[in-house]
Amino acid sequence: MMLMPPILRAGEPANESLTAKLRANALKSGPGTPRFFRVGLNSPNRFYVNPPLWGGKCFSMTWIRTIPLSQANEKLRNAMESQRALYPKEYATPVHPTDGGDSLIVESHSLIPDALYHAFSTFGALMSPDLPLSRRQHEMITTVVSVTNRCVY
Amino acid sequence: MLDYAVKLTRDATRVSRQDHERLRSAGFDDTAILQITLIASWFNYINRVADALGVGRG
Repeated sequence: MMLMPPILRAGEPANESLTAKLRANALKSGPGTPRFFRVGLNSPNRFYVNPPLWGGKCFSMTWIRTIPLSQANEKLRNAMESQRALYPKEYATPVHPTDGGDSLIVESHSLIPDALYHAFSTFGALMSPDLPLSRRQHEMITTVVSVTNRCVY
Repeated sequence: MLDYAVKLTRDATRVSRQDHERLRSAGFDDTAILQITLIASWFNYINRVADALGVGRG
């Protein structure tokens, strides 16, 4: 993972013209071209610029509004933190972190905290080292499923 | 194990008892078969959520 310094503090609202420029630059970059910013719609009428990259690719959040951990109310914060606590240590660091340190896919569920908690706590339970499968087997299964589904994420 | 994961991803109605027998003969007990099934199914869920909501799609 390549990390570049943000031009804005993570999670800081960007002005619209800057955001549009960053989005345009990110989208016109070709495969393998380093893209320095991820631009996502995190709250109504606001774009955020986030610094982390993954594999030289740029990721936006989602096409629906999401709520980052930094803006979560108590219920959502509890849901996010509780589901994370169920993950084995080696899975604790998200591959696609958001400015709040959670993953994009977790944050995509943020409008329905109960669904977020139950969906991801199920996954955490399935990764338990007390169950028969090894981490290598978890990853083989998840890889073949994602490839079969041609999942972009 | 991976053949089974792909089969349930493509069309779970085609999974049969014979598939579970193959898993047992490869050394997986019923808890492991359940775990394989749930992990593969959960990833089918999350793949669909990600693609449908545009996570990572720009």
